[in-house]
Amino acid sequence: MGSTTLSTRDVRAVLDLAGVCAELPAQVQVDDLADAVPELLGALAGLVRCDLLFWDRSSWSRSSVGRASSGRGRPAWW
Amino acid sequence: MVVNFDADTWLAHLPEHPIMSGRYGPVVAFSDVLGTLEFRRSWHYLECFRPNGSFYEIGLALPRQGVQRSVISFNRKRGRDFTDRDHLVLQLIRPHVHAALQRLGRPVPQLTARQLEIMRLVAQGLTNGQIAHRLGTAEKTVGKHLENTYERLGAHSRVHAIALCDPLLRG
Repeated sequence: MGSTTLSTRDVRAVLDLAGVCAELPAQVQVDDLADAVPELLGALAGLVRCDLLFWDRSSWSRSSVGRASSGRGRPAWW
Repeated sequence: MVVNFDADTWLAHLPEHPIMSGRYGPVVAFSDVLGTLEFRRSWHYLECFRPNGSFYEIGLALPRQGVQRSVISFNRKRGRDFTDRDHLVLQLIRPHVHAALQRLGRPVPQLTARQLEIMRLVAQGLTNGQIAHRLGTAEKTVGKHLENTYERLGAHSRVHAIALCDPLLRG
């Protein structure tokens, strides 16, 4: 099994993002969490460079495995 | 920007999605699972990737909450697939992102001024007796306030209560 080594810069980036996560204030229940976390998503896109960033949330039917019961489309956040 | 297909169609194809299906672990790229040919024939490539010019995707699946599944996906254009480094940093950051999102989704508890005052002292490490002395009240009264506070917060211990009302204490 191979191993991956992170550079000092990468380790710092991970720690910085962990700090961003820790500092995010709790908020009143919101209908769409994505409205509350542009800072978090932006920081993630900084850690793993990308052209588009998606946040998918879905619920699955309890009664039939593999069939979705409800959910959203796929808005891009980045 | 919103990719142009309805939610039902997207959900119907989730079981084929390497990341959303949850079959390959919490951090997985399409290219970890599908060969290029297979990928280019997939519904996800034809309907999701191609229209927005993406060719690679890596997903960060957060722990399931009952039937709720949440995945953050990173897309790139052709020629820049995700690396082992990307897999690793996402693995490392996953518990922190999960904790942050859980905290954000939780309603801020509502406490009375007195309950909040006592919780601030609890968070400073004071005992019920010390709090009672500080506030000039009976220890039993402090205990009763805390009992009501725990119930309101849904807390099962002193430490749990401090964690649950952390946003109020910070404020």
